[in-house]
Amino acid sequence: MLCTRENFKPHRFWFAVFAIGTIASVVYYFWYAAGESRWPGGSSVPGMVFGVLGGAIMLFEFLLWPRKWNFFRRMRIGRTQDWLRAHIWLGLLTIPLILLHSGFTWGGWLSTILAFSFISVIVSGLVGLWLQNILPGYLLELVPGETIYSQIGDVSQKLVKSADEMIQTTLGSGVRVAQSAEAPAFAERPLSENMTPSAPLSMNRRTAANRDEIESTESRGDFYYSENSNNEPLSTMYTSVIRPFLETGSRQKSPLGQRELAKQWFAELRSRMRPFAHGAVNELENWCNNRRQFDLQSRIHWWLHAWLCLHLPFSIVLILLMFVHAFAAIKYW
Amino acid sequence: MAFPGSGKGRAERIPADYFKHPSRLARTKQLLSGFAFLGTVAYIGWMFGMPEGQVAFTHGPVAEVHAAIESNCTQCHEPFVPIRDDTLAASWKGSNIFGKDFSNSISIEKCQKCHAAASHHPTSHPEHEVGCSSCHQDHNGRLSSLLKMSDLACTKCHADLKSHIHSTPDVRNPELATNIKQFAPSSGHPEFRSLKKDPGTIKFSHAQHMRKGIPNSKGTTPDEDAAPHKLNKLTKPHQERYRQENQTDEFVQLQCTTCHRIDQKNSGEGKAGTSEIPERPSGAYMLPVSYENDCKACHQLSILAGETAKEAELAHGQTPEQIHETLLGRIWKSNPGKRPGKGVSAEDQEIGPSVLQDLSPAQIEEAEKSVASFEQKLFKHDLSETERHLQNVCAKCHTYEVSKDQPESLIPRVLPAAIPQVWLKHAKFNHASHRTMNCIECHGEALTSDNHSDVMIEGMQTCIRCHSPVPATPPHPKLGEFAIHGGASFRCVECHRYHVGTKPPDWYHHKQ
Repeated sequence: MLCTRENFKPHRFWFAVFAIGTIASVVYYFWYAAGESRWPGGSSVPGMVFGVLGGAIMLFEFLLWPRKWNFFRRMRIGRTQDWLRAHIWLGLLTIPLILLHSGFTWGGWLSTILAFSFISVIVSGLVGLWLQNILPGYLLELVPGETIYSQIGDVSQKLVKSADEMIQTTLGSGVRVAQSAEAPAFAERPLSENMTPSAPLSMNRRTAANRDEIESTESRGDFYYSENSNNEPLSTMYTSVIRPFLETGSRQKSPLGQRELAKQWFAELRSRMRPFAHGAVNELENWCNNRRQFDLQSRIHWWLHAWLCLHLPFSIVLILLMFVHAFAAIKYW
Repeated sequence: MAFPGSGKGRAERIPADYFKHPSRLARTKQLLSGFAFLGTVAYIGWMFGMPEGQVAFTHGPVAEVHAAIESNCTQCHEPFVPIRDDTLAASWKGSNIFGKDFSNSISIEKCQKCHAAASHHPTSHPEHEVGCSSCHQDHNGRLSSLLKMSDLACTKCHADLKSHIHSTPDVRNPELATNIKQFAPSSGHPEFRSLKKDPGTIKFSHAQHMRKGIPNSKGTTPDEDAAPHKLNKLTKPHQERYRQENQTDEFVQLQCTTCHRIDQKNSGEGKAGTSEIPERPSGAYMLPVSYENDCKACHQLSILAGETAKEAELAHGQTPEQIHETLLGRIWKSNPGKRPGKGVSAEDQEIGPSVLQDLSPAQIEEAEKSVASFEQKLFKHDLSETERHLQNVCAKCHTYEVSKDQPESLIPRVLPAAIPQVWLKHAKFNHASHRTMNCIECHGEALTSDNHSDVMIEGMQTCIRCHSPVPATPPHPKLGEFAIHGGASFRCVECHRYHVGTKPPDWYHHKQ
């Protein structure tokens, strides 16, 4: 975090610029204002000086955006860290400069819109600064399975695909996994000759992991499949609960959306499955954990970057209107 | 996380060109940025393209009086020329930047298109003279006043006056205050020098006139006085005028407002639509006290005593020559035997120069002697009992001077009344604005003063009781805790004018 001693060391120079600039500007302004009948405005000596300085700083702040464009990025103009440090502290310095430049008045429409834009940029920037210092730590700690944010959807689809294949392998090739969570379909289930309706436990899918066990039980003749067999929970639950969750995550209400509930849910599912299916269930549980992490990552990412949806547009407004304001102020000063 | 599939599968889970497909959040950010850019460009286009868009450039609404021209900046501003002298750009005065001459004369000219204000004080140093906008700053909101400036607009010169003016006799005047910072004795503001002396020559005792019955002696009650003034001795119109509300006795009791009235707009003119007197602020000044309005009820100028007094009144304000003619006519009337044209009745005789037309030189000489003797008595004090009423004609109130060389036969020179119509020569004062106050709060001495040379207007200390920051000075000695304390504006402009001076306009001296 920025405010720790170690992290603050590289910021010392810029902090000194900010502190000295603020103190000097305030002292000079109030010394000048002592002999005036009202707060000196933008056309006064300190007002002009602060206005020009503040405008120049804002222009520098804005250059952080085009710096990221391919054309300029290749030029490698200064280190990103230095740019960001300057961006933060010089941005803070504009607060007293612009406040004193305004003479503590809103002025007309143009200057009021400018002021509003300036405040929005500053506030969103400060919020972003705070979030950017707090949230990455949480991301690192709580989302070990972090992926690229924009690819979360695709990665989730791949998870689903892999889960489908595993389920088909586990429950047998005859079982077709339903595509819809609402209507699990159990078409073309092969029936075993030894199936009985009342058998409490059965297994009708083979997995590569426990094929030996299957074969051994098959030879004992107690391997069967039926409508009431306990392989259905996995299929049903996968189709109705697990698969939708892997696809959409917490966007839809699901018992798998919370870690503890999901844990209990999978424990219950495991208790209803034969041991050889436990591996599949465990794997599904892991993948659901990953999906929950992706959801958390999405939320954290949104908080980390959503403030830019305010910061950048208002910066554009600020810079454009700043030029207009400077022109108008000089034209009618 | 144990991702399914082979190593190749895992490597392929993220497409290599993933960065070309921004997330929804990134797309939202781009979209909002685009809208912000387009919206701002549209707004800029409106500001520069539309006439009403120019209003956006202002750094604050103009005062109400300029609201009609608010959208036309060039009414007051010359593009790229600073309008004020206290700006950074003003330091480039005299320069030629952007092809423009940086002097404040341009903005002064623009103001003078509508405002024919006088120039600066004639003694001010030309280099220190500032433009209109340096003191009268607009763009402070609709309700702001361009006239109510801060004291600093004045004290930038008056706090060190000698540095800002030419060397003139005024500067050498030791009474001139040259270091005034605020309206307070401790801040250099001098006492009101207009109130140092009453130049008036009318002999008048306020204390006597304010007592009930207007007794001649101090401490005498109306009942004890030999000749108290009573309402029933006045004429009917005057009785109604001088009778106080709910008065039960007959003694005349004057109030301040009996004689002193506020000058109201066109009051008493009776001419709808037009007036001989120009429009003036109501209550700015007090109407002058006049004999006809305020004194005549009790002080008739009769040259005869007793019951015939009313038949022989002199008109007030006559010149010595007019008095002479009047007296001549009166004497002639009262002596029918000496009049020319025997058999002609007194009423048919004209009183005037024509009276003497038909007289012989001897008769004229005799008449002149009689009149001269009579005139002398108007200004004597050691008259007999029978002639003592003549002391109440002119000498009662007027001061006159007799030179040593002047023969006794000539009427002495009556000094002009010289009562100032406006007392505060260098400030403006409006009685109507102070109508919440009692007269004696500022004119308390009127109750006790017998001397006409007393000014009876309290000075700066009285004003400071209200025109100062709250809390003000100690309570009023007479009104105590009921007097107002502090809170009224004490700015320079509250009482002082600059461009038109503080003397009342010439029209006020129009005879009422």
